[in-house]
Order: sequence, then structure tokens, then C-alpha cells
Amino acid sequence: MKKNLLLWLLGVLFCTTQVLAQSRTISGVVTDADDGEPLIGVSLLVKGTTIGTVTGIDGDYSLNVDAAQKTLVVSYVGYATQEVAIVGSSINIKLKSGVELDEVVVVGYSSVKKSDVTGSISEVKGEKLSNIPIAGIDNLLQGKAAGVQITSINGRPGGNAYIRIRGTGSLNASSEPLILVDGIQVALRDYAMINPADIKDVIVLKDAAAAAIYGSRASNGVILVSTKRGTGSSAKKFSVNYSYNRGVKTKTKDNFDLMTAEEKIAYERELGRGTAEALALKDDEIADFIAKNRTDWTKELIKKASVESHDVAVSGSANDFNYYLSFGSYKEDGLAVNSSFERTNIRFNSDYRANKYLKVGNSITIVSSKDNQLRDRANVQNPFRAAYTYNPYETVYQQDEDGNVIKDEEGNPVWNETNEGFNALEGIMNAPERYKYFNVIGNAYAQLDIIDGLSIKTDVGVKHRTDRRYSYLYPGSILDGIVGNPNAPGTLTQNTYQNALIKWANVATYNKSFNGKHNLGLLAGTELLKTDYESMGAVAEGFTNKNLMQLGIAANPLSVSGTKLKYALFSIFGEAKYNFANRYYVSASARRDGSTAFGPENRYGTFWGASAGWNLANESFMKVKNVDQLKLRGSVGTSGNDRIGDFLYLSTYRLGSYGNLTSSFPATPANPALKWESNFNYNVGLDFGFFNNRLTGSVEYYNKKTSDLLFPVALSYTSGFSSQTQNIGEMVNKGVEAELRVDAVRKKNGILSFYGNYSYNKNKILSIPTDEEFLPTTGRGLGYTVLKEGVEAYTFYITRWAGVDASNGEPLYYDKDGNVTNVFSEDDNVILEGKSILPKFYGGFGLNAEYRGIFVDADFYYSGGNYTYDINTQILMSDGESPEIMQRRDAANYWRKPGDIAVNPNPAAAGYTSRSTDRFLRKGDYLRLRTLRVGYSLPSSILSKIKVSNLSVYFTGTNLFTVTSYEGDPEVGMGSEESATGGIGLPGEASLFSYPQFRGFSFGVSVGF
Amino acid sequence: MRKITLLMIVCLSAFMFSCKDELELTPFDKVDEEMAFKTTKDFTAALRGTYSRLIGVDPSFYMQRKMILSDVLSDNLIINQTGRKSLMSYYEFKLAANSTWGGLLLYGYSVIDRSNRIISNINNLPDGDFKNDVLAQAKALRAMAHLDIVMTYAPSYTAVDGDAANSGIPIKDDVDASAKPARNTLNETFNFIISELKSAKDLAANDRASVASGFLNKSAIGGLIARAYLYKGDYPAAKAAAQETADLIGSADLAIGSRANFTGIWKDNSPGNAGVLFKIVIAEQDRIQPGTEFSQTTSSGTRSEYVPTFELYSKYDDTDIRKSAYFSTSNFSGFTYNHIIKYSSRPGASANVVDIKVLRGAEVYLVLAEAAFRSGDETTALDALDEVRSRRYDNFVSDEETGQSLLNAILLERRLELAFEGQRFYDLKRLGLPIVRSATEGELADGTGTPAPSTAQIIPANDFKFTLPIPTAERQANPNFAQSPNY
Repeated sequence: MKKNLLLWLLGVLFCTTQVLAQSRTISGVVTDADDGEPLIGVSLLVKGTTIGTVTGIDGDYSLNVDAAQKTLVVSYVGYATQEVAIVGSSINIKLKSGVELDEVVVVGYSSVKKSDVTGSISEVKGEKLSNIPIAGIDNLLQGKAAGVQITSINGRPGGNAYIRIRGTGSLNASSEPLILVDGIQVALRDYAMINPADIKDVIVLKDAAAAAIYGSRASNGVILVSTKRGTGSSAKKFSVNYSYNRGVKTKTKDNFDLMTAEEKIAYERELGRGTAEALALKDDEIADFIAKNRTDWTKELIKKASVESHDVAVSGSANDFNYYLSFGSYKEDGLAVNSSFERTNIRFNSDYRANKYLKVGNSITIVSSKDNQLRDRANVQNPFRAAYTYNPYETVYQQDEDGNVIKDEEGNPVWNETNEGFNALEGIMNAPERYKYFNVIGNAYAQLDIIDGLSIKTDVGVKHRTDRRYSYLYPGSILDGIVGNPNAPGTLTQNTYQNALIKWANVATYNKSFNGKHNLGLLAGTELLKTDYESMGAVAEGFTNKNLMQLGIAANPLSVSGTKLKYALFSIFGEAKYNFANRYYVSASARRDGSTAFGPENRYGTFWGASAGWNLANESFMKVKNVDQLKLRGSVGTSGNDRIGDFLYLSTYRLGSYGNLTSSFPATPANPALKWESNFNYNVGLDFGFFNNRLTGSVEYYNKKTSDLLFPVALSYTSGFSSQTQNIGEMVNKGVEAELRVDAVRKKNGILSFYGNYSYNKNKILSIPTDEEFLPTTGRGLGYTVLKEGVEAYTFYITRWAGVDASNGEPLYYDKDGNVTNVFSEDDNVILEGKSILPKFYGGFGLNAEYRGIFVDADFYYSGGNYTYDINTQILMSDGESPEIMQRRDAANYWRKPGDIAVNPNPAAAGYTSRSTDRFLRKGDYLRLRTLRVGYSLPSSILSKIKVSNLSVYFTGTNLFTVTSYEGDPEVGMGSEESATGGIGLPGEASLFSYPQFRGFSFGVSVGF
Repeated sequence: MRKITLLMIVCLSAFMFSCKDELELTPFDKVDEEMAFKTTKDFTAALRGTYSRLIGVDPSFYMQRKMILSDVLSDNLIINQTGRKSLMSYYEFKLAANSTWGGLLLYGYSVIDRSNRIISNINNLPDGDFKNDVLAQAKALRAMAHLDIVMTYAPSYTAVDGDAANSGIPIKDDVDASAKPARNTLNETFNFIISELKSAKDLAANDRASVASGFLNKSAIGGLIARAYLYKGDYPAAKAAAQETADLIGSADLAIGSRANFTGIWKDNSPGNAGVLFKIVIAEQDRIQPGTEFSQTTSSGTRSEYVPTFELYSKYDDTDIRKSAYFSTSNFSGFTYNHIIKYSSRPGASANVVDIKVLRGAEVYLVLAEAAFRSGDETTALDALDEVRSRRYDNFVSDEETGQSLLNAILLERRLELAFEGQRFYDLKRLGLPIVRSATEGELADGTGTPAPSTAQIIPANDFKFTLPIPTAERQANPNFAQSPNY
């Protein structure tokens, strides 16, 4: 009965295709080669067609095939795919368990079998990225691939992460890799626009051999994101998948305490410095004062937030057509009140084989998204700073003598401006900054298969993003009172930013196998990339009501703005690959790019890559037991980086205004010598698989030298400019990477596997063209670090702290020569070798376990070897410099009498001044349980009865715990996001109250038909 | 099939050839420097671009900050304990290389650079009045920026040997962005400033209308010469320059501003800009608010960052128009303060938006008075002083002071007239006077409240703190720029 039902179900779901005249029926059973157990749901496909089926409960199958059809492809998750000759009508198949190794991966402009890859790549499967309450693919990739280091810029919903492949390869603003989604270059702001549920896989190209084909944009590595397509290779004709996730997030816990209201008041009174109210209190008034005013600003500003997503995907294939259609909706509230991120997207991908010669297809996603950003600035308006610095005895609203909230004429509570002169909660409510994004990313291609092995593909890609910004200053808000016009209250700033990108690539490929042993692949192509950016903005003031704020009804139009920028890149490239009997591999590629980022003299650059590999496993002498894969490979090559500002080679004049009339002024000091940053690197690696591929992995060594580094070199103020982009020198990143996977248990009822990856990177500046000892980084960072020959980039340059003088409580420092002194001087700054903002090691590890449908996945992430300057602690333990703002509890642990061994100097002895020393320099090492998922998948025996192909429920925990000695969250990206200026600080240079990181719990269900 | 292939090959080859043009791009919102100096309009725009650099949205920019900082660094202002405590490290004289006023150096030299670029392209203009006037303004602007920088980052001319190495500041008269110039001597610096100003004055037009446009004219440049000589301590030359400037303006009412028009100076509506020689014009759309540095007003009242010291406030007589023009007394957070309203508003504009008066005729008369006195000409000194006093006090009758009391009266009037206008710190510095702040008087209107911290109550005469330190960032980028002494 069960069997009949299943067959009926199969009949419904997978209608048989094109039964040709001479068809016949084949049938059989698929079993596990090790234990002989039947395998359910194994996919069988007639090679070269879309005809296929899946096995039933007893591992059985039955299929109509045509006499001309010779081969059956049998695949099953967790087992090696087999090709079986169609001989006779009864074909029983034994599948060997093992990781599927010989899949095809997209590398460069073509696809290759994974076993044929000789460059250095890492692959992340789409399922590792979905159903996690994080919006952007950048953050999701954390810990998933060796050599790829991901650090969140901050915890803002929909926010971005810094991606560094094999260390920081460039010093300029863009050390980001090139990211291509289905071949289309996307920018940082687009990452959160890609629905993770649509991602099939992510391939990271790490060395020059893999990346050189991308030439001038590839020096920081390349990440190729492929989205899902109709399952043309599966027998399934049509499937629907739906998944739902809902969760809550809280701020990650701090490993320090702030003072209570009592402690804070006592602290101020002991110092005799602080807020006027606290100091004016009489001793017997304190308790009453606190009782009336106690406020927990962290709770007022940072809340528990929710996240919810729905994803529906329909995919399938019919004859020569396959498609993938999806809808996704994602809504994430921010931890901070009134911040959020929402995304709605649809995707349609298809491929159609029109005839023997022509194949066409497309992929397109349309995304509508919005968020509400808060004033992440290094000042009192910043709610994440306010959560720490507002006093616990200052209320949100003004109160009368009896502690009742004072209301205005309209009955609304009156905000308390606090000692900071502001109320961050009021700022959040009354000065919102909303963004709306509309994104289209898509391409269409046509492929001509001219003769066997030769095809030409033309591919046009378009990306268009419109960002709209609405920055409000509601009439009557505190900030409006400070910066607004009292005669025309309320200000609306509206901006539109249009980003368009068009690319046109034409690629000819020729793949041919001679005598079954000589395998040749050739590729040649051209690509044109153009971007066009336009912005428009308008500011108007004078509104009666915060609910009626439109530019058109403003009393007083203030100003308009607008800019336009274009960029173009034209390239020709080619590649040749050859292997002998899948044993000996060689390949070479070259690309010539012309970029408008550089002057006519330096416009063109040529980049190349070469690699070789030896697949020992395919040698007859290596046909030994327990060795399944063994491949030695090496590569060498170059790539470049042109991502700097536009027209920096010109001495340009920009236009502005003075007294409402046109003015002009120099924008950039010319640097006609400006040229490509170029990168030379080599790589050796070994891929292995042992014991029936139960132990698989790879180890590699790389050496990446970047020359002509582009960097905004600080200029003398006497030039009238603060910095100029120059090619400044050479830097090397070298390191090792290891990936390992162990399938400890691989049974029908259960699996248990462990994985881990480890990356070690050593960065060193080889040369800087300056007569001075070092180059300051003030052109980009906060100035805590320098660039110096022979040491790591961004090594800290700071005065050393020597503790507290036990006799008088004075702060002590080391002078340049290492002598202890009580006089602080910047001249005593020293280069702290070995202490740089760059992590030296990082990686991820975890396990996957499954037993009778119950599954557990755990993913840990770790990173370390870097140092971060902790401005937060300096502010919260200010040695009496800022007693008027909240302090940490341990700020009160200061020297009071001779003999005290105190952490902090006596505030008076310190002159009520906190100096920047390495006292606040912290190790950035941490280990974090990034995700933990526990779930249950219903067995197919039950599912088949309810006509469902899969159903699982799961709980996911994100950032559940963190082990670190850093004070506060150790994942430090940007010090402060400063939406106005594009960020403060180098990545990881300093923590400065940016949007906090979260800890989340979510529940999910996914069902497939 | 063959056709398709052929078509494809044709397309591909066409594509390869046509793409070279795609790489020929020029910017859309800026022009190559060569294109920026072609016509008279280009030069006028470049001049405006230079003036606009005197201000900026960041208050640490040049002139906004100078207006308040000179008084924060002196005995004119006291910090408000219920304010935001901005600029506190200046107020407490906790100045260090990582905590100093970088804005004046960066933006001051940027004004100089913009002027230099106009000067280096000046011969694109045909000879004539227009060319002369453009050149005059560019030279005067770079001299003024040099003067402000040398007054801030070098010791007082009257306190050190003017020929000592590194005693001045780097003179920048070229457009080499990669140069790392060292300090010139104080004498070299002042010689440059004065000769530039003099040649500018000779070239400049004397058009009163330029005051409203925010441009320097001949009499304003004359006033700058007088200021430079006074700071240098060359009193006969200062007297001559001030006298010449006063004559050039003609009417003392126009120069100083009558008592009736005085308040209008601070509301940007004194008739014909009477009283103003050079101001930086700020349009509403610029979103630049010089007054925010002093106070912000919201529904809960005016919250001052700094208020006048009780000692200064008490010196304003009730018959003095300046008392009501400069101050307003009101409550904030339960305390009563004398708030500074000199920059608080002008009719029809956003709060705290007013033009910045860089040079007023009253200053020229006060320079004339002081320089004449020190040159032994008490008659001229008293006359000049009374020209000012008679336009400030109701029913003014001169005390006809002589000798020391005349000098004291001149210096007092200078302090009262030019308070919060970027002068006090530099006056104390050039006169070799200490900064003395009350140990008992606080910030409240009645003189109670919190006095200045004991560590910052007295800065001795000619102390090293009168010279601001060079920022670390500059010292790192240009180690040739020697740090100011004792930092």
C-alpha cells in the first residue's frame, strides 16, 4: 500500500517526459555499499536529459528509458555520485557514502570540476547561510571559509561587514574583495539586498591563479555568489519550498558594570566634580533624589528586538527549460529603539535551450528595502553612547517636585535635556533618518554552441540601485531648537542617490578532450563595465507638524545639491588550461584592463596568473586503500586594485558657494603619477581525502606581495590639504590555511561530522618611500597607528602606561627610553611592535550531528592576534576628566592614600585628565558560538503520507556566548559609523560606541512539496 | 548557423574597437585646474572659494572657532557648569599636541593655498583694475591667514628674539602640496605679512559695497596692516596705518557705527554696514552657525557653553549700548546667567546664524588710540578713544584722561568693544600680561557658581601656554614644523 501510494505520488509530482517510441522500463534497488541498507530518495537521472526519478521507501525505483540512452546518474546527499551504464532492465546500484567531491564550481568566466581546480578556492554552500537572523551575506560568511576574515562594521540591522581575504591586501579605503553575484559586480551596500535563501553557493577565489582573470579589481580576492537555478539536473519537475523564521535579539552582555545612581553620586561628590545637581545635593536629600529620578538609560534606549522572515521558492524544469522563482520577506528590528531593516525581494532565474546551438537564460532579482538609521556619531546624540554615558539619576522626561512627569499643552511629556544638553531618546524619536532602497540586479545571456566544445557566450548585466534618504528634524525637537530656524521650524533633507552599473561580457570557450587523456580548455573574452552615479538633494525648513513634512509644503526651501560620477573599465582576457589524464594540470591566464581611475599615462594594466597541479590520487601507484584524493597544486600570478576616488590624478576645482554665489576651490592636489596598486602572489597547497573520504581537507601556504600601495598620505597642513592618494610602497601578507572535515559517524540513522578551519596571516610593510621613520595613518584613521618598514601595517604608536604611583596616586608613564616618568608627553609615543589592528589568526569550527531526524549544527568563530584601542573604557574610566557622565563601577577604584595599590590614578593627581596610553589598548582575541541550531526533520515515511517532501523545525541561537578578555564586545569594526562622514577609524582600530552586537534566538520551520 | 557566427564575430570586433572611447571621461562637478582660471568670472569664483574657507560646517574651522576661542583662552569667558562643556581642554589650558586647535592650521593654510593658486594664475587676466583687485584680495587673504597663524602658534613678537630660528611659522607662497616647510623666523614671517598687505592695499579698490559681499577692500586691508603692526609692537607704523585707514573710510560714524546703529551690527542690518570693514557672509543655506559655539536655545531656555566672567560683565556700564547688544540675562535649569547674544540671531534666519565680523572700524580707532599713546601722541589717542566711546555711551562726556589712566581707558575700551571677537587672548599675549581669572567668582549672573579650576586661574605673563602646540598629525606629516616650545 505504502509503495503504491508513493508511486502515485511520484506520478503526480514527476510527470513522465517525452516517452519516445522505443522506450522500455528499467527498475532496481539502490542500497548503501557498506551496510546494504536500502536508500530512500536517491535521485536517478538519465544522463543528458531531464528524465529521472527518486527511490521509494525500500530503495526501489522504476523508470522508462529510451534505447539510445546509455547512462544513469545516481546521486544522493552524503554519497558519491555514480554513473551507471543502462544494461538490461534490472539495475541494482550500490552507493558509496562519502562527501560529494566532484561537483562543478564556477570559477572565473567558466565552470570546472572541483577536482580539476588548481588555484586556491573555498566554497560555502548556500544552506550554511540561510535561516539565520542576519540580513547580509557578508556577515553570514563569518567563519565559513579559511582565509576569509569577516568583521561586522557594527551590529546595525542590515549593516555590513569588513571582508578581508588573506589579510589586508591594501591600505586604502577599499581592501574589500570583488564580489560578483551571478557575474555582476555588487557594492558593499548591495550585500544586504541579496536574499541568503536564494544563494546556491559562494566561491572564494583566493590566489592569483584563480583571481587573475578578474585583473585590476582582484587584488583583494574575489567572491563569486551563484544563486539557485531550476533543478534541471534533477528528476524533480516542480518543487515548492517555504520557510519561516521568527526570533528575538538582545544586546550582547558586557563584561563590566556601570555605576548605580548611588555610586555615581557618591563618586562625583567625593571628587567634588560632576553635574551641578549631584553636587548641590545635601547628604540627606540623596536617597530621595535618586528615588525620584532613577533611570536605566540602557533599558530606555536598547530593547529586545524581533526578527521575522518568510521565504517561498518555486523551482523546476520542463524539457529544455528550467526556472527558479522566489519571494522573500525579511524584517529585523534594531536593538535600539526606532531602528529597523526590512527587505522584500523576488527573484527569477531561468535557462532555456532553444536548439542545439543556442541557449539563453537570465537571472534577476528585484529588491525593495528600507531601514531607519540612528545618529551613530561620536557625540552626545549617539544613542549607543548615551546608553552608557547618561546618568542613572537623570530622567527621560522632565519631572516636577513630586516626581510626576511634566506634560506640555498637548499632553505630551516634556523631554529632559540632561547634562549632555541632549536627550538621545528624543533624538531617536524626533530626528529619524530613514532610507528606502530599490535594487534591480540581473543579467541575460545567450550562448552559442558552435561546434562540439566551442561556445560563445554574451552576457549583459545590469545593476541599478536607488537610495532615497529622508532626514527629519521634527519641528520643536531639541536639535531643531539648536540648529533650526525658529521662524521656520523643522527641517527635511531629502536625497536621492542613483547607482547604475552595466556590464557586457563576451566570452568564447573551447573545451576538448583528445584521446580521453589530453584535456584542453581555452577561453578568450572582453568585458566592458560602466558605472554611473548621480545624486540629488534638497533641504527645506518650516513645517507645522511632524506628520506633514514634504518638501513641497515647506515654508522655506533652503538648498539643493547634486553630483554625478562615471567610471568605466574595459578589459580583454584569455585563459588556457590543459591536463593530462586528470593527473597533470597546467593553466595560464592574462587580463588587460583600462580604468578611468587613472591618468592617461597609467591607464592600462596587464595582469596574469599561472598554476600547475598534480593529482596523485589518479596515479596508478597511488591506487591504495584509504587514499581517495591527493592533489598537490601551486600557483603564481598578479592582480590589481583601482578602487580609489575618481580623478585623483587631476588637480581639480570643485564648485561651491559663498554668500549664495558660485565659488570654486581646489578639490584635490594633483598626482599624475598615480597608478594601479598591484599584487604578486604565489600559493602552494595540498588537497586530501582519506578513509573513504571520511577525513578530507586541505592545507596551503601563500605569499601575497602588494606593490605601489594606494594610500591617502597625510600631507603637511601647510599644503592646505590633509591628505593625498599616493602609491606608497610594498607590503606582504603571508600565511597558512587549513581546512579539515571529519565524518566520524556516517550511518543511515545518524551522522556526526566535525569541521574546522584555521587561517594564520602575517602582515609586514616592506617599504615606504619616506625619509621619516614611519608614515602616520591620520589620513584614514584616528591616528593611533602608523605604517613602518619591517613591522605590521597599522602598528600602534602610543605612549606606554607605567601604572599608578603608590606614594601619591599620580599616573606614571614610560618615556621613549623606557624610564618611568610622571610627565605625559606625546613625544614618548613608541611603536609597539607586534601590536597591530590586524588579526593574525581566525577561523571557524563546529559540528553537524543527525540522529533519526534530530539534528544539531554548531558553528564557532574565533579571531585574534589583533589589538584595539578601547576609547569606550577611556571615557567610562576617565580619571575625573568626565565626571559629569556615567562611569564604570571600577572607575571609583582609584588611589586615595599612600600605599593604595589602585587600578586608577587619583583624579586630582592626574589633573582630572585621561591620557591616551596603552593602558586602554586591548587584545582583540575572542571565541564566539556564532550559531547553534537544533532541529527535527520528519522522516520520509511520515512525510510521504502527508504528501510533503520535507518538513523540519529548528531553533537557532546566534552569538550565544563569547569568550574574551576585551571589555565590551570584542568584534570591533568601525569605531563610529558617523553617517555624515563615512565612518571614523580604521577597521578594528578603536571602539567608540557604535551600534551594539546582538545575541539572538529564533525558531524556524521549513517545508517542501 | 554560419550567419550567426559571423554576426557574433562582427559584433565582438566592433565592441573591442569602440570601447576605447568609454575610457575618456572627465569629471562632472569639478574642472581641471587649467580650466578654473580662464575668465574674470572664474577668478571671482575662486576668490569666493577662498573666503568661504574662512568658515565651515565644522566649528573647529578658522573664524568661527577664533571668535570664541580667544576669549575661552583668557579672562573674558567662564565655562557654564550646566553647559555641554565644549572646549573645556582649552578653557583649562590642558593643551597638548593631541589636543590643540588643528583647524586654524589646516584651514588657515588652505586659505593660503587657495590664495596662492589665484596668484599663480593671475597673469591669465589682462592688466587692469579687475586684475589688481583680485590680486590684492588674494594677497591680503594669505597675509591675514599667516597673521592669525603666527599669532597663535608662535610666541609673542614682543617676548622673543625675532631673528631666532624657528621663531615664526612656515611661510607658504607656493602651491607645492608635497612640501614640508620648516618655521621661518618671526621677523621673516612679519615682514612677509606686512609687505603682502601693503602691496595688496596699493592694488585694492576701495568699494564700500564689497563689505556686503564679504570681500576685502582697501580700507579693510589698511585695518589689517594696523592690526599687524600693533601686534608686532611697531606703534608709529600702527598709528600711521590706522590713521590712514580712518581717513580712507572718511566718516567716523560709518567706521565705528553710531550708538543707534550699534545693535544692528550684530543683527546684520546696520545701514550700509556701518561699523563693519570686513565680514564673512554666511547664507542661511550654508548651515553654519557661529553662535552655536556660545549657546543653544531650545524650549527649555538658552543654554550657554560659556558666559562672560563676572569681572568682565561688571565692567559694562548701564549706559553702554554694548551691554544690551552683547548680553541677555535669563534662566536655565534653575540658574540665572548672563548669556552672550552677539551671535545669536539675525532677523528671519535660523538661530545662531550671523555674519562673522572679522574687522570693524572701532578696532582701527582703538589701534590708533593705543598706537598714538605709545608713540607719545596723547591728543590723537584721546580723540580716537572718544570717537569710539561717544558712539557707545549714552550722553557721553569724556573724562579726558591722560598718562597711564588714558592707556588704561584705551585698553579697557578695547576689551569691552572687542570681547568675543577673536582678540582678547592675543591682546594679553602681545601686551605680555598674565591671564588672571577670579578664584571666587562663578558663572552665574550674580557672580556665584563655580570659579575656574585652581590649575587654570593664573597663566603667568609670557607663559609657554600663550603659544598653542602644533598638532601631532602635522608633526607626523611634516616633522620639519618644529613643535612650539615646552610641548
